[in-house]
Amino acid sequence: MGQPTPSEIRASTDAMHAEAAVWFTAAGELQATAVRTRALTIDHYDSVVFREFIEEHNAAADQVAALCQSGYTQLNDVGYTLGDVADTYQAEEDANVHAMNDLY
Amino acid sequence: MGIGVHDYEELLDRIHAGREKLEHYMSMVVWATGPAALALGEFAYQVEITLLDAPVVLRFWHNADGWTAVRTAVTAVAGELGDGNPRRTINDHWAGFAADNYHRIVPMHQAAAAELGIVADKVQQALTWTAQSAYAFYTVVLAQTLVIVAALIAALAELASVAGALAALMTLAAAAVAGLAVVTEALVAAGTAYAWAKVFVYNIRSELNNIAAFPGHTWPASGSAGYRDATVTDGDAEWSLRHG
Repeated sequence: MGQPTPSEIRASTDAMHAEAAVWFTAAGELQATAVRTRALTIDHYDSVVFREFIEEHNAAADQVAALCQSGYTQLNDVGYTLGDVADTYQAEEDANVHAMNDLY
Repeated sequence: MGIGVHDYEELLDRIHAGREKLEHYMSMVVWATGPAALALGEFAYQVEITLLDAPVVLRFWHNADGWTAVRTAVTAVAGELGDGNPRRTINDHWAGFAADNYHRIVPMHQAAAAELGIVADKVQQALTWTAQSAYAFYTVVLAQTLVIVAALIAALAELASVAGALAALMTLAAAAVAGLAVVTEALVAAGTAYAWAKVFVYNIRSELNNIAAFPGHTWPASGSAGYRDATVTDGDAEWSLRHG
Protein backbone atom coordinates (compact mmCIF):
# COMPACT_ATOMS: atom_id res chain seq x y z
CA MET A 1 0.00 0.00 0.00
CA GLY A 2 1.55 3.29 -1.09
CA GLN A 3 1.36 6.69 0.45
CA PRO A 4 -1.92 8.53 0.17
CA THR A 5 -2.15 11.27 -2.40
CA PRO A 6 -2.56 14.92 -1.37
CA SER A 7 -6.10 14.86 -2.72
CA GLU A 8 -6.93 11.77 -0.62
CA ILE A 9 -5.62 13.53 2.45
CA ARG A 10 -7.56 16.68 1.62
CA ALA A 11 -10.73 14.62 1.14
CA SER A 12 -10.15 12.95 4.50
CA THR A 13 -9.61 16.19 6.40
CA ASP A 14 -12.61 17.68 4.61
CA ALA A 15 -14.65 14.68 5.75
CA MET A 16 -13.53 15.34 9.28
CA HIS A 17 -14.55 19.01 9.02
CA ALA A 18 -17.91 17.89 7.65
CA GLU A 19 -18.26 15.54 10.62
CA ALA A 20 -17.42 18.44 12.96
CA ALA A 21 -20.14 20.52 11.28
CA VAL A 22 -22.68 17.79 12.09
CA TRP A 23 -21.80 18.17 15.78
CA PHE A 24 -21.98 21.97 15.65
CA THR A 25 -25.40 21.79 14.03
CA ALA A 26 -26.63 19.30 16.62
CA ALA A 27 -25.15 21.44 19.42
CA GLY A 28 -26.98 24.51 18.11
CA GLU A 29 -30.24 22.58 18.03
CA LEU A 30 -29.75 21.50 21.62
CA GLN A 31 -29.08 25.07 22.72
CA ALA A 32 -32.21 26.29 20.93
CA THR A 33 -34.14 23.44 22.56
CA ALA A 34 -32.84 24.47 25.99
CA VAL A 35 -34.23 27.96 25.44
CA ARG A 36 -37.51 26.58 24.08
CA THR A 37 -37.89 24.21 27.04
CA ARG A 38 -37.23 26.91 29.62
CA ALA A 39 -40.03 28.92 28.03
CA LEU A 40 -42.39 26.03 28.78
CA THR A 41 -42.15 26.66 32.53
CA ILE A 42 -45.67 27.27 33.80
CA ASP A 43 -45.79 30.19 36.21
CA HIS A 44 -48.12 33.07 37.02
CA TYR A 45 -50.94 30.59 37.60
CA ASP A 46 -52.36 30.34 41.07
CA SER A 47 -53.93 26.91 40.69
CA VAL A 48 -54.60 24.84 43.79
CA VAL A 49 -55.95 21.87 41.82
CA PHE A 50 -53.00 21.58 39.44
CA ARG A 51 -50.24 22.76 41.77
CA GLU A 52 -48.43 19.40 42.09
CA PHE A 53 -48.76 18.63 38.41
CA ILE A 54 -47.33 22.03 37.50
CA GLU A 55 -44.45 21.59 39.95
CA GLU A 56 -43.54 18.22 38.45
CA HIS A 57 -43.91 19.58 34.94
CA ASN A 58 -41.67 22.54 35.70
CA ALA A 59 -39.07 20.31 37.35
CA ALA A 60 -39.00 18.17 34.20
CA ALA A 61 -38.71 21.28 32.02
CA ASP A 62 -35.81 22.59 34.12
CA GLN A 63 -34.03 19.26 33.95
CA VAL A 64 -34.51 18.84 30.21
CA ALA A 65 -33.32 22.40 29.61
CA ALA A 66 -30.22 21.80 31.76
CA LEU A 67 -29.45 18.56 29.92
CA CYS A 68 -29.81 20.28 26.56
CA GLN A 69 -27.52 23.07 27.70
CA SER A 70 -24.84 20.63 28.88
CA GLY A 71 -25.37 18.66 25.67
CA TYR A 72 -24.68 21.84 23.73
CA THR A 73 -21.34 22.20 25.53
CA GLN A 74 -20.30 18.58 25.03
CA LEU A 75 -21.36 18.38 21.37
CA ASN A 76 -19.53 21.61 20.62
CA ASP A 77 -16.43 20.15 22.25
CA VAL A 78 -16.63 17.13 19.95
CA GLY A 79 -16.99 19.45 16.94
CA TYR A 80 -14.07 21.68 17.93
CA THR A 81 -11.88 18.67 18.65
CA LEU A 82 -12.55 17.11 15.25
CA GLY A 83 -11.90 20.48 13.60
CA ASP A 84 -8.60 20.83 15.45
CA VAL A 85 -7.62 17.27 14.52
CA ALA A 86 -8.33 17.96 10.84
CA ASP A 87 -6.41 21.25 10.94
CA THR A 88 -3.43 19.68 12.72
CA TYR A 89 -3.33 16.75 10.33
CA GLN A 90 -3.56 18.99 7.29
CA ALA A 91 -0.91 21.39 8.64
CA GLU A 92 1.51 18.50 9.22
CA GLU A 93 0.78 17.16 5.76
CA ASP A 94 1.45 20.58 4.26
CA ALA A 95 4.74 20.62 6.20
CA ASN A 96 5.62 17.15 4.85
CA VAL A 97 5.75 15.71 8.39
CA HIS A 98 3.84 12.55 7.47
CA ALA A 99 6.14 11.65 4.63
CA MET A 100 9.24 12.31 6.71
CA ASN A 101 7.99 10.02 9.48
CA ASP A 102 6.23 7.62 7.14
CA LEU A 103 3.19 7.87 9.36
CA TYR A 104 -0.29 8.36 7.96
CA MET B 1 -58.31 15.04 14.07
CA GLY B 2 -58.46 15.08 17.87
CA ILE B 3 -59.62 17.84 20.10
CA GLY B 4 -57.26 20.80 20.07
CA VAL B 5 -56.65 24.12 21.68
CA HIS B 6 -59.15 25.91 19.41
CA ASP B 7 -61.91 23.48 20.39
CA TYR B 8 -61.10 24.18 24.02
CA GLU B 9 -61.15 27.95 23.54
CA GLU B 10 -64.46 27.70 21.72
CA LEU B 11 -65.88 25.56 24.51
CA LEU B 12 -64.81 28.09 27.13
CA ASP B 13 -66.43 30.91 25.15
CA ARG B 14 -69.68 28.95 25.09
CA ILE B 15 -69.47 28.24 28.82
CA HIS B 16 -68.90 31.92 29.59
CA ALA B 17 -71.87 32.84 27.39
CA GLY B 18 -73.98 30.19 29.11
CA ARG B 19 -72.87 31.44 32.49
CA GLU B 20 -73.93 34.98 31.60
CA LYS B 21 -77.35 33.71 30.61
CA LEU B 22 -77.54 31.67 33.80
CA GLU B 23 -76.79 34.72 35.94
CA HIS B 24 -79.19 36.84 33.92
CA TYR B 25 -82.13 34.49 34.38
CA MET B 26 -81.19 33.75 37.97
CA SER B 27 -81.40 37.46 38.73
CA MET B 28 -84.95 37.38 37.44
CA VAL B 29 -85.94 34.74 39.98
CA VAL B 30 -83.85 36.10 42.80
CA TRP B 31 -87.05 36.90 44.66
CA ALA B 32 -87.94 33.23 44.62
CA THR B 33 -86.79 31.75 47.89
CA GLY B 34 -86.48 28.14 48.93
CA PRO B 35 -84.78 25.15 47.39
CA ALA B 36 -84.71 26.56 43.86
CA ALA B 37 -82.61 29.58 44.77
CA LEU B 38 -80.32 27.51 46.97
CA ALA B 39 -79.71 24.81 44.36
CA LEU B 40 -79.20 27.35 41.61
CA GLY B 41 -76.73 29.24 43.76
CA GLU B 42 -74.75 26.08 44.45
CA PHE B 43 -74.67 25.18 40.78
CA ALA B 44 -73.54 28.68 39.74
CA TYR B 45 -70.85 28.62 42.42
CA GLN B 46 -69.58 25.23 41.25
CA VAL B 47 -69.32 26.51 37.68
CA GLU B 48 -67.49 29.62 38.84
CA ILE B 49 -65.01 27.62 40.91
CA THR B 50 -64.20 25.12 38.18
CA LEU B 51 -63.65 27.89 35.65
CA LEU B 52 -60.85 29.31 37.82
CA ASP B 53 -58.52 26.64 36.41
CA ALA B 54 -59.63 27.08 32.81
CA PRO B 55 -56.71 29.44 31.93
CA VAL B 56 -54.02 27.07 33.19
CA VAL B 57 -55.62 24.23 31.25
CA LEU B 58 -55.34 26.43 28.17
CA ARG B 59 -51.63 26.69 28.96
CA PHE B 60 -51.47 22.87 29.13
CA TRP B 61 -52.82 22.72 25.57
CA HIS B 62 -50.19 25.16 24.34
CA ASN B 63 -47.41 23.45 26.29
CA ALA B 64 -48.35 20.08 24.81
CA ASP B 65 -47.55 21.59 21.41
CA GLY B 66 -44.34 23.04 22.85
CA TRP B 67 -43.19 19.64 24.09
CA THR B 68 -43.98 18.14 20.72
CA ALA B 69 -41.57 20.67 19.22
CA VAL B 70 -38.94 19.70 21.82
CA ARG B 71 -39.39 16.02 20.94
CA THR B 72 -39.06 16.77 17.24
CA ALA B 73 -35.85 18.77 17.80
CA VAL B 74 -34.05 16.25 20.01
CA THR B 75 -35.16 13.34 17.86
CA ALA B 76 -33.66 15.18 14.89
CA VAL B 77 -30.40 15.55 16.84
CA ALA B 78 -30.38 11.80 17.51
CA GLY B 79 -30.92 11.21 13.79
CA GLU B 80 -28.14 13.58 12.76
CA LEU B 81 -25.68 11.74 14.98
CA GLY B 82 -26.72 8.38 13.56
CA ASP B 83 -24.73 6.34 11.07
CA GLY B 84 -27.45 6.92 8.51
CA ASN B 85 -26.57 10.60 8.18
CA PRO B 86 -24.88 10.91 4.75
CA ARG B 87 -22.84 13.89 5.99
CA ARG B 88 -21.08 11.57 8.42
CA THR B 89 -18.37 9.92 6.33
CA ILE B 90 -15.50 10.01 8.79
CA ASN B 91 -15.48 6.23 9.09
CA ASP B 92 -14.78 5.93 5.36
CA HIS B 93 -11.57 7.95 5.72
CA TRP B 94 -10.10 7.37 9.16
CA ALA B 95 -9.10 4.49 11.40
CA GLY B 96 -6.78 3.99 14.34
CA PHE B 97 -6.81 4.35 18.13
CA ALA B 98 -8.29 7.85 18.19
CA ALA B 99 -10.90 6.97 15.58
CA ASP B 100 -11.98 3.98 17.68
CA ASN B 101 -12.29 6.21 20.75
CA TYR B 102 -14.31 8.69 18.77
CA HIS B 103 -16.67 6.03 17.42
CA ARG B 104 -17.28 4.81 20.96
CA ILE B 105 -18.66 8.16 22.17
CA VAL B 106 -21.08 8.80 19.30
CA PRO B 107 -23.79 6.32 20.37
CA MET B 108 -23.81 7.77 23.90
CA HIS B 109 -24.73 11.22 22.59
CA GLN B 110 -27.23 9.77 20.18
CA ALA B 111 -28.85 7.79 23.02
CA ALA B 112 -29.02 10.87 25.26
CA ALA B 113 -30.84 12.85 22.56
CA ALA B 114 -33.19 9.93 21.89
CA GLU B 115 -33.94 9.62 25.61
CA LEU B 116 -34.87 13.30 25.78
CA GLY B 117 -37.24 12.65 22.90
CA ILE B 118 -38.95 9.95 24.97
CA VAL B 119 -39.19 12.28 27.95
CA ALA B 120 -40.62 15.13 25.86
CA ASP B 121 -43.17 12.76 24.38
CA LYS B 122 -44.29 11.61 27.81
CA VAL B 123 -44.64 15.15 29.16
CA GLN B 124 -46.68 16.03 26.08
CA GLN B 125 -48.91 12.99 26.69
CA ALA B 126 -49.49 13.96 30.33
CA LEU B 127 -50.41 17.51 29.37
CA THR B 128 -52.71 16.38 26.58
CA TRP B 129 -54.35 13.81 28.82
CA THR B 130 -55.01 16.42 31.51
CA ALA B 131 -56.25 19.00 29.01
CA GLN B 132 -58.56 16.50 27.32
CA SER B 133 -59.94 15.42 30.68
CA ALA B 134 -60.64 19.06 31.48
CA TYR B 135 -62.28 19.45 28.08
CA ALA B 136 -64.58 16.51 28.81
CA PHE B 137 -65.42 17.98 32.20
CA TYR B 138 -66.14 21.45 30.83
CA THR B 139 -68.33 19.90 28.13
CA VAL B 140 -70.49 18.49 30.92
CA VAL B 141 -70.48 21.88 32.66
CA LEU B 142 -71.68 23.55 29.46
CA ALA B 143 -74.39 20.98 28.85
CA GLN B 144 -75.74 21.25 32.39
CA THR B 145 -75.57 25.04 32.31
CA LEU B 146 -77.69 25.07 29.16
CA VAL B 147 -80.16 22.61 30.69
CA ILE B 148 -80.61 24.85 33.71
CA VAL B 149 -80.87 28.00 31.60
CA ALA B 150 -83.67 26.27 29.66
CA ALA B 151 -85.33 25.29 32.95
CA LEU B 152 -85.03 28.89 34.15
CA ILE B 153 -86.68 30.22 31.01
CA ALA B 154 -89.50 27.70 31.36
CA ALA B 155 -89.93 28.52 35.05
CA LEU B 156 -90.06 32.25 34.37
CA ALA B 157 -92.98 31.70 32.01
CA GLU B 158 -94.81 29.70 34.67
CA LEU B 159 -94.02 32.17 37.46
CA ALA B 160 -96.27 34.66 35.71
CA SER B 161 -99.22 32.60 36.78
CA VAL B 162 -99.80 32.06 40.47
CA ALA B 163 -101.13 28.58 39.88
CA GLY B 164 -97.98 27.29 38.16
CA ALA B 165 -95.43 29.13 40.28
CA LEU B 166 -94.89 26.49 42.94
CA ALA B 167 -94.60 23.63 40.49
CA ALA B 168 -92.24 25.69 38.33
CA LEU B 169 -89.95 26.43 41.25
CA MET B 170 -89.89 22.77 42.26
CA THR B 171 -89.05 21.71 38.71
CA LEU B 172 -86.32 24.31 38.60
CA ALA B 173 -84.88 23.17 41.91
CA ALA B 174 -84.87 19.57 40.70
CA ALA B 175 -83.05 20.61 37.52
CA ALA B 176 -80.43 22.53 39.50
CA VAL B 177 -79.87 19.65 41.94
CA ALA B 178 -79.60 17.14 39.09
CA GLY B 179 -77.23 19.45 37.19
CA LEU B 180 -75.02 19.85 40.23
CA ALA B 181 -74.91 16.06 40.70
CA VAL B 182 -73.89 15.51 37.10
CA VAL B 183 -71.17 18.17 37.31
CA THR B 184 -69.89 16.69 40.58
CA GLU B 185 -69.76 13.23 39.01
CA ALA B 186 -67.85 14.63 36.03
CA LEU B 187 -65.49 16.38 38.43
CA VAL B 188 -64.71 13.05 40.11
CA ALA B 189 -63.95 11.49 36.71
CA ALA B 190 -61.70 14.42 35.79
CA GLY B 191 -60.00 14.10 39.17
CA THR B 192 -59.23 10.44 38.50
CA ALA B 193 -57.74 11.29 35.12
CA TYR B 194 -55.74 14.10 36.66
CA ALA B 195 -54.38 11.79 39.38
CA TRP B 196 -53.14 9.45 36.66
CA ALA B 197 -51.50 12.31 34.79
CA LYS B 198 -49.82 13.47 38.00
CA VAL B 199 -48.27 10.05 38.58
CA PHE B 200 -47.30 9.88 34.93
CA VAL B 201 -45.45 13.18 34.98
CA TYR B 202 -43.83 12.22 38.28
CA ASN B 203 -42.48 9.04 36.67
CA ILE B 204 -40.92 11.14 33.95
CA ARG B 205 -38.38 12.26 36.51
CA SER B 206 -37.07 8.70 36.70
CA GLU B 207 -36.57 8.75 32.93
CA LEU B 208 -34.43 11.83 33.40
CA ASN B 209 -32.46 10.07 36.09
CA ASN B 210 -31.67 7.26 33.65
CA ILE B 211 -28.02 6.62 34.45
CA ALA B 212 -27.40 4.82 31.16
CA ALA B 213 -28.42 7.83 29.07
CA PHE B 214 -27.30 10.54 31.48
CA PRO B 215 -24.36 9.31 33.55
CA GLY B 216 -23.97 11.47 36.65
CA HIS B 217 -27.36 13.02 35.82
CA THR B 218 -25.82 15.10 33.09
CA TRP B 219 -25.19 14.87 29.37
CA PRO B 220 -22.48 12.33 28.43
CA ALA B 221 -19.00 13.81 28.25
CA SER B 222 -17.40 14.54 24.89
CA GLY B 223 -14.48 12.25 25.77
CA SER B 224 -12.35 14.41 23.51
CA ALA B 225 -9.13 13.53 25.36
CA GLY B 226 -9.36 10.13 23.70
CA TYR B 227 -9.28 11.41 20.13
CA ARG B 228 -7.73 14.85 20.08
CA ASP B 229 -4.15 13.71 19.32
CA ALA B 230 -3.71 14.31 15.58
CA THR B 231 0.03 14.90 15.44
CA VAL B 232 2.50 12.29 14.23
CA THR B 233 5.45 14.20 15.66
CA ASP B 234 5.11 12.12 18.84
CA GLY B 235 5.88 9.00 16.85
CA ASP B 236 2.42 7.58 16.32
CA ALA B 237 -0.63 8.20 14.17
CA GLU B 238 -3.65 7.87 16.44
CA TRP B 239 -5.75 9.13 13.54
CA SER B 240 -4.72 6.91 10.67
CA LEU B 241 -5.82 7.37 7.07
CA ARG B 242 -7.69 4.64 5.26
CA HIS B 243 -6.24 4.71 1.76
CA GLY B 244 -5.09 2.63 -1.10
